[in-house]
Amino acid sequence: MTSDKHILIGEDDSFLLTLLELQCQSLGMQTCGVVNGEQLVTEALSYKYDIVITDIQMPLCDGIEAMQILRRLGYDRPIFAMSADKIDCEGFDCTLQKPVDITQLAELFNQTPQQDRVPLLLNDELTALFYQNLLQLGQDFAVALQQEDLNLMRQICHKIKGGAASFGHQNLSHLADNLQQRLISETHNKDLLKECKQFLLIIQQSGVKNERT
Amino acid sequence: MREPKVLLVDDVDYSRQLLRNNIMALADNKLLEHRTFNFFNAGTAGDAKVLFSLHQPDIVFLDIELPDSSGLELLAQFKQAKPNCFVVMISGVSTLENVTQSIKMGAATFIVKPFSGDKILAAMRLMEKQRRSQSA
Repeated sequence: MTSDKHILIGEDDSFLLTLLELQCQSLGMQTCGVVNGEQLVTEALSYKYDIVITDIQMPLCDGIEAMQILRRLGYDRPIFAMSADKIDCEGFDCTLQKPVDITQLAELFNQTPQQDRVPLLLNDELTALFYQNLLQLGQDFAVALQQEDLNLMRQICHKIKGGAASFGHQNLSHLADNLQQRLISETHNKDLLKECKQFLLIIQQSGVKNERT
Repeated sequence: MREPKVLLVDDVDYSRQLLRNNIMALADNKLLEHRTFNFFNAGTAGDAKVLFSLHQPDIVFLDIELPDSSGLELLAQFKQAKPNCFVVMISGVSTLENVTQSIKMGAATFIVKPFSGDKILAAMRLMEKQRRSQSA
């Protein structure tokens, strides 16, 4: 376990975001920056962060709304607001005055305890089940590709995206996500089918035999 | 304290197994108040409905995208049948719409795939907190 804390920062102004990330990093923290309220909610729900710091005015959903969604979902870790104005709403652990003072930031980081981290338990049986499933999905994908069934390929991508990252296949999960987006937004075209063909090759090579040799 | 009944609804076998193994590991490592749970598995919305009415689970882990129905529809039915049931929605797509819709329909919390130990622990601790406040 490292002593540095993980900080999630929501700020739609890219200059201010970079500045804040640098300030946090100079205090020994690890940071992740997001630029709207939707990303803030999604990232916070990964439960990777010890502290969330958010601007109030942000696109898609503002900092107050994002905080309220998280609290409604039982998110009980510290959320700090950043604002030039006084904020009159419950749910934030504290409000930092903008521009953010690095001494105040350091003090807050020191006072905030690090959250427990629990590793995901993956035993051999479960890993074997995953590879067995991936093999089956690869075969289904090959059939869907042959029939040029874009909807079925999208569903398979969705399944791979959800499962692969838990088993250390972050790349495969990321590729499945990208392809899934394309299969939703595009209609039948040669370039898309070419990418599907490449993806099939990647699924087949992510099988257990390749992993173990 | 009676052991809570947990219904796992996901069309992928290893996802259900992963949840079950990790919930049991959290209990074995004394990170939860409960030491044992009673698990039921459903791979389709149809199976989930049957198991739900038969066992009246206390907790449901419910994948949004099921082969035969939307998890959101099931959520509404479960909450109507048993309002104090603790439902954790699971999705690979965590759009704001999915999240707010789930909240509106009564989900207690939301797990964004991929699974992690921290996400499962957070959901289980929230469940225990709510059960404590309900029984107080």
